[in-house]
Amino acid sequence: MCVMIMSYSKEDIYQRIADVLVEQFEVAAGDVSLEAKLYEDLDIDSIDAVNLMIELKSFTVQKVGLNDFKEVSTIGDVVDAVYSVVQQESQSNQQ
Amino acid sequence: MRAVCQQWRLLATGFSFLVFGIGAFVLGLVLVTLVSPWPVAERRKNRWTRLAIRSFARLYIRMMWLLGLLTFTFRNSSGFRGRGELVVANHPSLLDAVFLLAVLPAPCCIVKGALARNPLTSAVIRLAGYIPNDGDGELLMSGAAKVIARGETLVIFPEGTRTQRPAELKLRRGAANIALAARCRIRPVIIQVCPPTLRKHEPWYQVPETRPCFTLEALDTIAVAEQVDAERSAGVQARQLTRHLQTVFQERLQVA
Repeated sequence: MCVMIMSYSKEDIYQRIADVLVEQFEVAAGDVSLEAKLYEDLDIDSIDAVNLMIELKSFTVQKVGLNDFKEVSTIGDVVDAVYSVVQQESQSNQQ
Repeated sequence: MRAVCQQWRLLATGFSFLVFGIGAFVLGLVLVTLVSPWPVAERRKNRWTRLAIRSFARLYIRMMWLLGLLTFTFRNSSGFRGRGELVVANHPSLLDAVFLLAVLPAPCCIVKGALARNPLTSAVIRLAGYIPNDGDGELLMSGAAKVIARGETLVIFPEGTRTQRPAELKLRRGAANIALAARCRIRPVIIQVCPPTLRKHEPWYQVPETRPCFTLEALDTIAVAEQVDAERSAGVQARQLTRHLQTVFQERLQVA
């Protein structure tokens, strides 16, 4: 009954986002926080967002759609959006 | 005398706005009825439409010149005739697009999403094959790269809107992203209006004291690969290229 599924925590996702922002979008490590706003604080535009989501694909089987991204404003929102897909997928795996 | 001149230009400006509105509407109607039904390839229709738009833009500028509303100069004219380039221009006034459409051969444009949805303008925009900016960056990028790859010239105002303060000109990264995706050369065009007129948030009836002169200068093209570090990510390259473009514009606009 009890099947162990390898699943990512919110912390894993946050860490990966922080790394990508610093390495690929010239964001200063000190500016990264859960509350930081992607567009206003970190100068991430819609094209960057597409590239960011491509980088985060490794967490999920299905792509986290850009529709989810439209309601996203802070890094915390991205973490939640990716995490909810991760959860859905691990639940459907268990069934 | 100066006051009389200014009064005249106020009247003539109002008239010009009216002519633009009516003229664009009639042109659209004519194009849609005459060009749409032909059983020819879409690209041929695009070309006819763009040539008609160019004639309209030229006629319109000529009219404003005859009315004594403005003078204009084109510098390095051969630079306007390139193919398969991404033309990037600063955007000091409402007339910039009209001047660019008059001087470039038959360019493709990126147009505001609102215009592409407006029933009055959408038919012509589709007929001309212009690319609507509807907020879907991915779609915009692929459309733009495709147009350039088949040898068309694409025009974009990389500031995304009219310049507010030339000294603090701030480019968005869309233009750089397009050039990187299309692997094409960039042709900067410097537009200067002296004295300034029809800036953002400036109503049409606020005519300048003297007749403004519009100068459009085509600079030499920029080879994208020379300005970016190919080892770095797409995001970093777009930032490097945007910084370079920004310096090009700022240097040119400060010299003036």
